[in-house]
Amino acid sequence: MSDPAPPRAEPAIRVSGVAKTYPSRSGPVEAVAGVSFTVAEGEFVSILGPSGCGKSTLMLMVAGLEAPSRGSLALAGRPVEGPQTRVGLMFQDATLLPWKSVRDNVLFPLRMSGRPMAGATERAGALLALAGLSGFADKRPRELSGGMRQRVALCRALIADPAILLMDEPFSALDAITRDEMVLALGEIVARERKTTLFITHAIREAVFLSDRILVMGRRPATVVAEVAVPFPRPRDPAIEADPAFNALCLDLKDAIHRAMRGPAAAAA
Amino acid sequence: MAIPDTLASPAPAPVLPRGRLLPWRGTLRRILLPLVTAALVLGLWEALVRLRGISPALLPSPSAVAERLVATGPFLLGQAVPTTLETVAGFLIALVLGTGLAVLVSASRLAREALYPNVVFFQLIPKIALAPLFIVWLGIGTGSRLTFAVFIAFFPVVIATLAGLDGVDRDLLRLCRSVGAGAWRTYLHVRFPAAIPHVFAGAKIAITFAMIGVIVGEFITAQAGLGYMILFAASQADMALIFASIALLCGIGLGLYALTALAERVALRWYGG
Repeated sequence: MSDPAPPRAEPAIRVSGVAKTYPSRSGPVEAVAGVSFTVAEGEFVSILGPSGCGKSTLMLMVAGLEAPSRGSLALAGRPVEGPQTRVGLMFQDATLLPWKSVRDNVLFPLRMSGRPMAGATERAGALLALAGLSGFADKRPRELSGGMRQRVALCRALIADPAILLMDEPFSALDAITRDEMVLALGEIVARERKTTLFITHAIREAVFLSDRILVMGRRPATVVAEVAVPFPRPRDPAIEADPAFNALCLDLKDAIHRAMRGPAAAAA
Repeated sequence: MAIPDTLASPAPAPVLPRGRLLPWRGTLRRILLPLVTAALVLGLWEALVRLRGISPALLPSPSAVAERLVATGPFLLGQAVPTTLETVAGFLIALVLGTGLAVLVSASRLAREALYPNVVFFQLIPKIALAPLFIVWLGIGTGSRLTFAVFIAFFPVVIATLAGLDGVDRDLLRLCRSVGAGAWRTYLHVRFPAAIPHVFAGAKIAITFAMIGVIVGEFITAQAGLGYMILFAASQADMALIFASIALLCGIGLGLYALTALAERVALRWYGG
């Protein structure tokens, strides 16, 4: 980590004209078509769109796990070429290792990277406490509920102190009540840890509650069809869900998604 | 409780749970019921042989087999030693080679495309038919029987292990790549441990297959072993000895399977899935 600090003006994430085409039996399939956006340092940006619209592909490209067919990506000014080690990943499923304890699952990225980190065990304990899992460090994943497992996955994403968190519908496999709880916990933890976050979701209220800014994507191939700023300061209290401005934003977004579903032409109109 | 008028209203659902006829707990019932059935069949067999006066040269009674088993016990146990050792050795070799090939096939696209269809082919054909070839090539010693046992026990291990190695969650593998873990480290810490339940599923098939391989080998060539005893007794028309050998073979087969299943239990407890 002795690299010189990048110029301050560079955004944490820059996506420039990125497209991704997959080969398939019925010819090439375009998953992402010409997407450009930036995420500033410390900003929480959600990508909101219907399932299967190419949002996940976009996240994998930001993480350097998939190469774009066209365009380029950069994290803090450094071009993305290959897997990025300074990002924390979270997926729809917790993907914990059942044979390891909760603590060892949190420490997993450090062990796998082969870069020992001073005080890692203490940091794991602190993160688990922050996620409300203090007494569970020695438990196995199967002893936890789905929501608790996803909290462990969040701690795992944070353990190496990544500059950027990338989350792909991390709460979509949870029940509505657990989900609300997790959204609240994530909002607090991310604000406290001051992480730049790219959050992929198809849930409008979740996106509005968590984000500084929301990019709406249309049907596959994914393009950004609308961009909405959320003016409330973070972290937010659940009470803002009663705010008329909050609900007006949700309705606007719903409308934008409906237009996007009918096709890019209708969305532009 | 008032007895309802059965003409006016249908009888209420029975209050007693079903299965009250056998008032045991589930597990006891699961163990006892098949044992009782087996005992009944043996009893029927015994009765049939005694009442119909069936010749022992055709079908000995279970009690005659048991007597013979006790009488020739030490001798038969001696014969069981090479059979058991070859089975265990064949199984262990198949386990090592099978997991090794599965790792190779899962790691290399070339190996997968070149080898895997052939593995599936061999898994599907009746491999027993190839046993004489092994005798011709490798002679009549332990070597040919062991090789044949490995040959037939190997394929289920490969296929089960590969299913485990391939079944690892894609997102988990992405996570490994994103933290900069190489292929070897990912195998060691993620893919191989994740495949362990599958390895044991293959191993439970392999242990029975290994014994089949050894017995078939003994049928063809051996001068010792329980498979040889069965053929020898058949040539002497000694039906009680045949059944005694088979009974011992069944006991050993069950014991080896039980050991494998026990190892699986220990491994799954560690795995914690």
